Amino acid sequence: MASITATRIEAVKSFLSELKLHKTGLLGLGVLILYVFVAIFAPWISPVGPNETGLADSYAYPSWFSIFPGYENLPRNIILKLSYEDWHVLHQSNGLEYVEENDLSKINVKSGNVSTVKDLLLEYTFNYTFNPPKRFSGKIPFKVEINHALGSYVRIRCSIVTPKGRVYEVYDSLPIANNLTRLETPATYDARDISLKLKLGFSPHDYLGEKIFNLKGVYKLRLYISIFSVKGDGAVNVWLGVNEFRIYGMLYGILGTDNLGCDLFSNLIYGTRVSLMVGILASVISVSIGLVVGVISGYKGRIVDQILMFFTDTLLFTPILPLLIAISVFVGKNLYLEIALIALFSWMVFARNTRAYVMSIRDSMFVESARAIGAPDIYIIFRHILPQLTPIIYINLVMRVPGAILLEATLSFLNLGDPSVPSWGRMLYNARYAGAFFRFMWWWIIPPGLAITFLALAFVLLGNALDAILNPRLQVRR
Amino acid sequence: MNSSEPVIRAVNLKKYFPVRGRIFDVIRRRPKLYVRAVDDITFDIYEREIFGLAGESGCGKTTTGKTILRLIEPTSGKLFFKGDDLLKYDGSKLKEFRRRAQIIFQDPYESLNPRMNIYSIVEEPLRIHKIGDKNERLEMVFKVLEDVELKPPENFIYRRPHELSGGQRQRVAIARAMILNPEFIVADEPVSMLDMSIRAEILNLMLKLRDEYKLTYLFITHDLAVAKYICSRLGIMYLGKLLELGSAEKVIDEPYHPYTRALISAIPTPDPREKIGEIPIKGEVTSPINVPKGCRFYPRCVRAMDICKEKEPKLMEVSKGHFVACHLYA
Repeated sequence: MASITATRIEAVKSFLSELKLHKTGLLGLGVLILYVFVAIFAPWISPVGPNETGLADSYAYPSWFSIFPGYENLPRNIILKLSYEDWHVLHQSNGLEYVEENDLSKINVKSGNVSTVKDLLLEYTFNYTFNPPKRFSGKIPFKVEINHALGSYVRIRCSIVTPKGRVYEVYDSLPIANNLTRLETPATYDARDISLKLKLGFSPHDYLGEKIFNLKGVYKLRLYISIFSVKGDGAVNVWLGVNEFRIYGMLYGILGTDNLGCDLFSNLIYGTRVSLMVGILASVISVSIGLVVGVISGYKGRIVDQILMFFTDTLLFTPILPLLIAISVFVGKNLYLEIALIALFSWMVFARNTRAYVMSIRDSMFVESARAIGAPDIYIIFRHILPQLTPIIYINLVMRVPGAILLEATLSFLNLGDPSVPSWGRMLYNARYAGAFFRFMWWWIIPPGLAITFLALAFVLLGNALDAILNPRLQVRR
Repeated sequence: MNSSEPVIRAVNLKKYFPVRGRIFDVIRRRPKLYVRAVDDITFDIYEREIFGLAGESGCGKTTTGKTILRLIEPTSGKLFFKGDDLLKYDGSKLKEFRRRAQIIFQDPYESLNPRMNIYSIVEEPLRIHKIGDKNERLEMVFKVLEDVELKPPENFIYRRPHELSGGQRQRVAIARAMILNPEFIVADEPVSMLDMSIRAEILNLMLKLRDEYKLTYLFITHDLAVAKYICSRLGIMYLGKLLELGSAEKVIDEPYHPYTRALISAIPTPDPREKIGEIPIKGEVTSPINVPKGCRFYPRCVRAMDICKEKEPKLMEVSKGHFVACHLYA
């Protein structure tokens, strides 16, 4: 039997050498391999996940836009992480200690004979040279411990000082008179906060970033901690974590961001996985269903054939899209359900083709010969009919993939896909939903479109090459 | 001839194929039409004889052969295999019958699966009937390939059908039929697709195998020369009917029926200078759907009488073991 394995290896070799003659098929295979590579190595190609929001401002431009005139000064992402040594101490009251302790800055005030307010004023200076950003935000992790008589409190305030000296107080904790830990879930402030806008005297429709960072120059970030301790024994401790301040840039990554500040490039890369999985799984399932139905129907004939073909034709003429919309509304959105549905509605043509092939093979002499020997039907199907069908099975497996990918994209575009799964169709749906079309954000719309096109094209080219190799008689027609 | 129980006994065997009616006919409630491929024929095949069936294309020879093997279910009639009612066979009994009775098809180019190699093709019957283990099967395949004179077998077993000549393929088809050691073989025009030079070899091989394997053949042919060479008894068929039945030599040398005479006079001679004489027949084969009321052959018969138009002749013994269905000898 060794020579049978040898002939199989020989067959694979001759198949590959024939594929070499089909330049377009080779191109399709190359593109497909590229896609598979991207799908496998998605986490390395794109370090940020597709569902991470707030990576930059909404609708950020791709970062390579900065080479074009008019886009050079778009705000960049600025993230300041300020720990103990970064702060410049502007004012420190007597009796107040400010030391580093386990990555936190510890501020403690011992009791005295009189009730006093003790202050710590920290400052960080940075240069801002870009256009005004729309948004900034900050995080202030802290922990307050009051081992003191009732009445003692801690108050933390944060403000931004413009080059002209105007002070905007962006955060005020108000007096904290009890023990409070906000290290894991720090106190935050955000330029989009309407109450903050109103507090600073702006309209809710203004962008705070544009109002505050409207100058190029030296800005100061100030953190003001005041501790009031009443007369008596005890201590008040405050720990400060790593203070974060960030300005959301309008330039980000390779393809910018969407309306939620998610990385579009990451979406594109991770979308490869979904599209390949949907395409291949749906194609395998649909070809399997089609094969089973086609073989049974073609081989058995008569009433079985009539019944099966009745179902096939019914499904064939069912309006699929409205049905899928109804199902996704009533059953829910799930990627695997979607794959199953795509497969369930795309096997009919293949079943009909297979049926016709099986009918002609069933009546061939070598099948009759096997029947005359007493071969059971199952044996004839597996030994004589299926081997004859292998070329059309392979071709259909490949040719059904682009249809499934396009249908998945269509469903996602109509918001019928799984919303938690990044796919190209979902990118396009988001683009439409978020108004990328009339903002003319072509870098959001064109890449997923091209990705779908090229993947479908790769499968079609490969399928055509397979067709030409496995059905050499058809070559004459081309 | 000499044995008491015939291997195959067909009694009033009929096979009608329904003609697909047009919707117009269904609406007009016209009677359903049938192709009368085999229409009421009766014959016995005795042990170790080669029973020939000859006739024009479409006269029902092949249908008869396939019906006898129950590859086609007969419309009516009775079939006996060594005294057992063949039509009552089912399940394991039918499978056992399939082992004991084999068929060799006309076209060795189509009857072998092009995707299988010779070893798998010849071994397949053993695998279907679960005979022997791997080594035993290999041995049996080698033996049967040697028996059909594909020597040495190891040169052939890994080849595929398209690498063989027509004669070699037919040998493979014969080997495939022989490997189960059958008792009865339907040979459906086994040499008609082959070259003249190979025909004799295959026919001699079949004769040799009959002696070695103690076989009984039903030999279907349209070539009377071949029939005379190989058959012990011969039946002449026309439009599903047996017109003449007797020992092959007698039927060909002293034909009674006008149709047999016409067939024999149409045999070309090997001498190219000799002209073919006038063939005593007229017209074309009538459609097997609308058969004439009286004798089937009446419209084409040069010696037709009035009675032929009205009454169908019965098969009658005119001399010992020689039967003819014709009013001329009634």
